[in-house]
Amino acid sequence: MNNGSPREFGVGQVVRRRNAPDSVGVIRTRRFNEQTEEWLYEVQFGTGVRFVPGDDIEELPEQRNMFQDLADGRVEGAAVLRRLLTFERLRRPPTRIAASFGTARANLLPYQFKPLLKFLENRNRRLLIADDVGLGKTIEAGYILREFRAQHPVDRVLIVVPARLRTKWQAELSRRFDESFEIVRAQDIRLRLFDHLRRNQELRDFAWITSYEAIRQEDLRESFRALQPSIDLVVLDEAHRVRNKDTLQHRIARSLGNCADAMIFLTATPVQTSRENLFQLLSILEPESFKDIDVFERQLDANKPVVKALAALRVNPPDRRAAIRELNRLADDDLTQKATQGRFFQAILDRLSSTKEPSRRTLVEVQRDVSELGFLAQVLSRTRKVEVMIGRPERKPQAVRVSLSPEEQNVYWAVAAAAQLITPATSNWGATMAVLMALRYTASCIPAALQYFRSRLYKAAAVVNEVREVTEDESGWRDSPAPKKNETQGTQAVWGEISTRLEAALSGVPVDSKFEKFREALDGIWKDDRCAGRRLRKVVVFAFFKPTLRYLSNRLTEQNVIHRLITGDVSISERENRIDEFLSDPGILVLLSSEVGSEGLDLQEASVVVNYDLPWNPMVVEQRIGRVDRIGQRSPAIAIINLILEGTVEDTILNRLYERIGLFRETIGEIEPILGRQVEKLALSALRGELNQKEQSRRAEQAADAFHTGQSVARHLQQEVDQLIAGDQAFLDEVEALLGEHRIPGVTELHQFLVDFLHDSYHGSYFPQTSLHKVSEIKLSKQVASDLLQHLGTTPDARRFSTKIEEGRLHGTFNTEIHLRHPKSELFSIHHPLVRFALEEMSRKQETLHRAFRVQIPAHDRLATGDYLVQVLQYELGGVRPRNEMRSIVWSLDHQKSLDDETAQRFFVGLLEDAETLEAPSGFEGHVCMAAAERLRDHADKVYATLKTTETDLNAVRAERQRATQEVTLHSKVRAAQRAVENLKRTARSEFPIRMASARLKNAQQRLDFFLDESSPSTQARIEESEVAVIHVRVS
Amino acid sequence: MRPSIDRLFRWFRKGRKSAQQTPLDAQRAFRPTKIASEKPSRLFHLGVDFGTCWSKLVLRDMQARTPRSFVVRPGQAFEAENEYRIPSSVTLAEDKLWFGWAGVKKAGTPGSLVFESIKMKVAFPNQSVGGPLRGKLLPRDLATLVVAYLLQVGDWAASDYCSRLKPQSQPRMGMTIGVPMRYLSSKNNVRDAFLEIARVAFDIYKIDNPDFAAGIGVEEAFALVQRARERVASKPGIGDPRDWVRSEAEAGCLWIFRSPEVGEGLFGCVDIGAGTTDVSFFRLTAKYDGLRWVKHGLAFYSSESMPPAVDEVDRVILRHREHFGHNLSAVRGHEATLLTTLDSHAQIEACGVGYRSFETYQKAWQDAYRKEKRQSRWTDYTLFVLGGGSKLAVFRDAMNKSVWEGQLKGRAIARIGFPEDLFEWDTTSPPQTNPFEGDATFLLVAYGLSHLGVNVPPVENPDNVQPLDLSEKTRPPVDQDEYYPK
Repeated sequence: MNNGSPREFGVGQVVRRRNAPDSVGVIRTRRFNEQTEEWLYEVQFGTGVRFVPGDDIEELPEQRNMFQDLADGRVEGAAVLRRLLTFERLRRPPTRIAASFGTARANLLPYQFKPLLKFLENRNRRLLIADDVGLGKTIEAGYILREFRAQHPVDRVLIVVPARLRTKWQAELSRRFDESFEIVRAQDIRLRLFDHLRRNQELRDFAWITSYEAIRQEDLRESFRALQPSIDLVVLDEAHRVRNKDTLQHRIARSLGNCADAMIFLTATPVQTSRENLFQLLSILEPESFKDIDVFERQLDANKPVVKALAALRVNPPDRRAAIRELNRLADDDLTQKATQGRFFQAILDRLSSTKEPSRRTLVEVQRDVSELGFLAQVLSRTRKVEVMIGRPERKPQAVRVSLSPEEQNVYWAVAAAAQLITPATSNWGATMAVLMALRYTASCIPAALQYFRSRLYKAAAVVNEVREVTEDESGWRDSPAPKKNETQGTQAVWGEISTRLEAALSGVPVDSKFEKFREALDGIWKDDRCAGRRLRKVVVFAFFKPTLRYLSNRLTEQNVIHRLITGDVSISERENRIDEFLSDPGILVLLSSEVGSEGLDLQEASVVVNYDLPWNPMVVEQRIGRVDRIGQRSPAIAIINLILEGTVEDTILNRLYERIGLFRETIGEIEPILGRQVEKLALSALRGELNQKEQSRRAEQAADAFHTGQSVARHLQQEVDQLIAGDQAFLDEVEALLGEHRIPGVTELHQFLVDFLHDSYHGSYFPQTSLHKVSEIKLSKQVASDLLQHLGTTPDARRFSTKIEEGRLHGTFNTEIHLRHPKSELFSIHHPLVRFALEEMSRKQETLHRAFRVQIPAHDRLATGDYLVQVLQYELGGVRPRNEMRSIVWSLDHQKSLDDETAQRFFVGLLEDAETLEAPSGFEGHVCMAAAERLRDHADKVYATLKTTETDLNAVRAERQRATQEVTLHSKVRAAQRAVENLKRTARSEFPIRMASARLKNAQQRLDFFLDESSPSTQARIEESEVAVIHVRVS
Repeated sequence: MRPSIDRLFRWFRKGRKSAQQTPLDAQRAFRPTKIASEKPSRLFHLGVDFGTCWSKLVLRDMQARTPRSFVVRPGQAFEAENEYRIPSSVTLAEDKLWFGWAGVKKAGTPGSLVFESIKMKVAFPNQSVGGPLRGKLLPRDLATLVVAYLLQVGDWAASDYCSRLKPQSQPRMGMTIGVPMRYLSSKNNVRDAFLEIARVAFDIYKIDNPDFAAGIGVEEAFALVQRARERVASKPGIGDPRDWVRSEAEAGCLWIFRSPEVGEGLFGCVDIGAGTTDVSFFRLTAKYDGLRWVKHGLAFYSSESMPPAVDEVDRVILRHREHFGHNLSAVRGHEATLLTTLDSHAQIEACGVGYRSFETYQKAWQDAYRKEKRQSRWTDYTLFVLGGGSKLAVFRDAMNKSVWEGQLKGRAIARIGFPEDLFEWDTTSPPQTNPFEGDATFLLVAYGLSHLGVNVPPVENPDNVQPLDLSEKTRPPVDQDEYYPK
């Protein structure tokens, strides 16, 4: 520090504060302070102006030299260091998945990024995600979409899902990823895609969701095959539906595969009946790699040593010898022998047999290389529930049987009697539907059904259409074709009959037995809570019939039970409001919901599910329970209350069957649609009087047994396949390191970064600390909104956020879990427009950032007390595995030696977690510091040289391996594209499809050329180093 | 011979043993330049809230990395017990003048005389408040000595703070005292009187630096003030008066201005001190700086400073609780509890004080309304209540009332928040920044004054703020806005 008399400065001179070198400003005026008899200088710091004494400022050196700053004692403290490291990690994230990591409105679960990493690894951009049910495959697909979008232009996306899941997908993508998708029908695809192409018109961008039911039409398949519209990404959910090669769905999937640049399949049951199921799926994704089922079977067996080697490396400590032994076995099989001959294989063995204990980083790299030797690793990602969901809540089902009063029985049987009219020979779809629906309404809630029947008694023809309006179980009927004229006539007949029979029963039903039982059950639950002295549990009540929900709402209001009601009729924003209130207000204990109303929502704050009526589709039951039984559920048990009318079909068939297959007790995985149809058929037979009660029970048992047998075979096969799939620990390690090693700034760091940015640039803005753990009011000046739009452009999220600022009602949080409970609030993640804006603003003045620091961190077992000089470096690595790495290099000032890589990494984590400003003098003279810095630089040079050699060597062998495995695929893609162009030239009536196919051929050729070009950036090792900071660290 | 300043501080820290050890040396040169030291110097600014009964000091470290100011709590060296409130009274005992807590202790000596409300006596020389002065001393002389004493306390705090810094440094200190805005804008010579008090006191502190803790003889005190006054009079121009004296209202509102929680708009600020209720109405103005609108300054529409305040409530209590005698200090700080023990007559009397205090508020509002006559502007102004009286229900209830009949409900009293750079006095080494534990509303004036005059927003005093032009041109349609008939 300069202790001499302060020098004088001139107006316009650029200066910085001695004690806070990061504060750089320009002198505007000066004036003499009479009291202390010195000059005070008016300096503009950012947007603020203040007078400072002359000895508080110094001239800004032209070129910043962080080592010189350190030697001269021009150092900053811990807060500015953290800000700089946050900035650098946001600017050049040391991860490949920066655009998606932590950016969705979902709990951050590392395993959900595994498919994304695999997708990025696979140059063919094909992936089968075969995670267990309930692990969030939609979210995984969303992450892929987001990251893919960040790295490539993604203009056309098609998602194919079962009809009942269309709105769920739409809502999930919108709510969690701000992706706006449109649900389209077959006709839309014809008009807006193929007619466009035929009319030689340029294809517009689209983001569509359609159903298998809509797309499985021969003309569409033919159009996809013939015209091959370019689609950037195709996603098939429940892809097991396309595993049968004889079905239209399979052929459609193949055609889509030819059109798609990237393709993802999602299924929890890649194998149901045999290994061929898996083969068929993979052969659609990568036809060039999976051509023959026999070869595939052999491939799976040949793959076993790879799986075993990875298993040996996964244990702690890794069994490297076993891994080497297994890998050497690859030479024994013809299929894998070739893989052992290249330099890539030798490089793996060299690293495994090294005498030095490998670092975690090296081990992760080796695991990734080993997994590349496998056949399935690149194209298949699988996560089992048992691996990631520990301590799941126990499901406690409870059947509440309701004895109907004689009056209620009259009504029920009056409706049921109409079923006697339905015969396969004489009845059509409309009539069958009408009678089934009437019966389901009655079983759902007799008073609500009666009211509905009264209002509709003489409008029977309208009822079939109305089924769509009042029913919300998304059971597949909604996607059925519109009723034809003769069907409407059949319906009229049925309704006429029901009307006649109901006349007698409509005299009034004094008691609602079901509601009374329901209230008793609720009171029982809450009484238990009171006795146990815990908070009253929140209850979600499901019913498929909207009048039932409205009726329940009225009754609960009469009884002063505060509740919220959501159905598909309620607008999405209002739905969010109501959900928000239910989740956050401890006084609101009941949520009445239809399946559509709650689709895509996480209701894990509740721990009681009431099935007020039983859906006829078992998957709907699973979805209802799944709203509550999901990751984030804190209660150790979930109560499931099923209200069943005694002696009815619900009792004898549905409940019996569901209980037998364990539907209420456990997640049973994807259920074949066939089971749903069996249930329906069985119920109808029972209603028609074809089965007596005993037979009904027997048939239900038979169906359950058949289901169990199927499940058992599928489980066995899946276990077998699991043993054939290489473990993906390396990918999980990579994701977990993002959090553990702070490769991506955490929420606290992000919060501080924004607070500092706003403090410096937008005085008057306020980001409360509480926003870290709850939704808080955030005050931002309106100027932020306009500047943000100016800099980020009018992207949808920038616009949305700016509007919120201008409206002056900004509530937000950094906590994803809290945000999920308050979906209307703003979630501040690294992807948020405000963060991006702050980053952009800070990048502009990065040249002036101060980079010398002095801090202290506490000692622990791996960090010995003493003084250290730490340099943080950023490496930009190009080649087969391009990435950014932030590393720290540590020099012990006491022992005059460098520290190993692992300890240096601990230093880096320690700096981010525990660093405090070191107020005490450094104790090191400037020249000592400079000498140490010289040594540190020498050491950094060595690290650079080693990294360069290792990376170059590894990159060369990886590139070689990549060429060996992917060249064939790329060649065949070019050939397929050539064939498509030739075909179109012969058959197409318009120019545009030919142009599009030619463009695709050009792309495929370019990709191949690029891939084959050994000097291309994608294969050439490249390494660039930049100095981030130098820090004097005292460990004490 | 006078001890060196280092010795003086050692003496302060050990605790005083003999008053004779610190004789005056009027010829002493300017202290900071006199000390030969290798230590780097460090600039401080002392905010002096010179109150009628109590004074408060906030010391700002002008060269800290991040904004940092401390509540000064004089300890044993000043016969105080780490209280941040320092008595503004002076006691004449044993033929000497005693200041601060030492003076309060001497007040029990037989034949002692306590001079209270000295500041009021400067502002209202014709009103009889407290006992008569002796000799040639005038209220303004006593006020000067009190301020000089407060500066010495501040200097002790700065030296103590610097000695705990690593590396140690040597303080140099400036200061600003606060006076009610009404005095500053008054047409009489009150403003000049306070400006002179500030300058002369600072001169005494810099040049003479007497040992106030040892007591000062009356004649000696008179001579001290006279010499300093002559020195100051001989100096050229005074530069910016705001470096010396700023209005308490403005200082109290500085945190409101700086707080990110408060945007531009119309505000009322009621500071209920010991002797007077100081009310000001102001607007936070914004300015476009080429990039964005930023809060720019404070335009005061009106200010009023009138008795009664907490003293009057204390007197009510004393009247009804005779065993306390006539000593206001006996009940000070315990008003809220004592009021609940009084009978209904006494409570009504106390409410009467609140109502009279409210009249000051109302008068200030009426003056402010003359500057801005749009009724709509006054429906949602923000009201802050500061000072000791803000803790008493009699005043809070009074201020909650509607100030004009057009407004059905009174303004809710807003929370003022807490300055983020005001920290508790700390004796560890190096000094830590621990949040202030007490009630910040008592310290907002001293906090505001601890900012250098040049570093605070521009202020327009009520005399400068012109009434809003209500000509036809600017008048909006009647259905959008309405006007209160004159």
